[in-house]
Amino acid sequence: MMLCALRKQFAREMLGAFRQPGDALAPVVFYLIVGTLFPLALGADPQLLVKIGPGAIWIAALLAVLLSLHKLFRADLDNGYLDQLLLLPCPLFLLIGARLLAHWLQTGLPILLVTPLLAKSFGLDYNLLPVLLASLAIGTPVLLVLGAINEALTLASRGGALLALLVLPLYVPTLVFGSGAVYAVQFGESPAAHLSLLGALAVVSLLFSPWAVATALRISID
Amino acid sequence: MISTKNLAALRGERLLFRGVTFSLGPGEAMRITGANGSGKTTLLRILAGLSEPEQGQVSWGSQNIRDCREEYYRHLAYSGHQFGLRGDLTALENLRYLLPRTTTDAALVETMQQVGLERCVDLPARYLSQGQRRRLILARLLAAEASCWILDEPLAALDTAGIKMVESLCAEHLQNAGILIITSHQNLSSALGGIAELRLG
Repeated sequence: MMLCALRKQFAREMLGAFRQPGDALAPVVFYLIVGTLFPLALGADPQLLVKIGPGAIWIAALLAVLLSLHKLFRADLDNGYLDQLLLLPCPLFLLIGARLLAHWLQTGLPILLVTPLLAKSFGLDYNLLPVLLASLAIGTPVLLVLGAINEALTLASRGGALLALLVLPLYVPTLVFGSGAVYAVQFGESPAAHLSLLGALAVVSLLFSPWAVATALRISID
Repeated sequence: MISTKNLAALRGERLLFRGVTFSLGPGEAMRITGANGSGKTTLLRILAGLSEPEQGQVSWGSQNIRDCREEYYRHLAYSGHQFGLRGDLTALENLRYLLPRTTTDAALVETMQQVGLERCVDLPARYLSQGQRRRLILARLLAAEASCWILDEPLAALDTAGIKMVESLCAEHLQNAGILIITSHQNLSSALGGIAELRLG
């Protein structure tokens, strides 16, 4: 019964995204737009673009994830499904885990897939691509789950601005280590230090966030 | 068996109710009545474990429901004011994802026929009327095979045939040794006439 409930939770989220592709793809489209506007606005100075590229791409990814957070629980709070989710005979943190995984596949994975395009528009060297993708692959789940905790906590207050204010300080380490890894490679150093710190962040946040989100949801629903 | 001891709830600073103590065993039912704002929905949410009471506790068997959520929820079917339906999924898909256990679509379609929704199986839920959504939730109650039903205004928006159906389903549920807790502004028929009443406010 437990596995079935988890599978159904995952399937429901994925099927919903396929039914509303425009809605599901909005964050990645936003990511593409931000990423292509930078080179247009900054003019044709290849050296400058190469320099700011990794940072700009990381900021665009961070904002795209932030933009996607409102889809996590809000609609299901409004239609009453969240009540039913809390009443399923399955540990809530596992259900949350399934939901977060589905959400990352809809947001994080498309961001990774279009990243080579953005790297190209900034004129980044091809040898930067592996570390850029690696840092985003580790970093976007962290951004997602940290945002999910805040989203669950602020669900009752319905404060979009509050969410952004609370979550941005938590995003800073991920942003610093993520873009730092790419810059390290650009300067001819090893990205290992940045990537391992990012990895440590990922392990801690991915392990504990489902519990935190589950607890926050129970409080918000009360 | 579901039992409560000395439940009290606040809304803001206002005391909604206190000292609510009862116990319901298999085949027993209770109807909660009271004016608008007297705390019927709050009480039902506390009974389902969705809200915390200010005081007192709710027990399933001999355990506090907070300590045996999974066991309790295996036996519980709760239907609130909102239906938990996602508009872009079809009626059948919504029904499927509201049930935690393994289900076959054929069996679910049969249940939908039972509640008169055979023509809406593949219709996105956003096209369903209020009454049809109610009926879909009835289908979920039937398919969930839960022994404890907590129903918040299950008759709202239903037509006469729908109301009759809810009443006969509830009567059948009680005959099968189920537990039923219900709120309703409308009078229930004689099939359920003899059930205990708890008046709030």
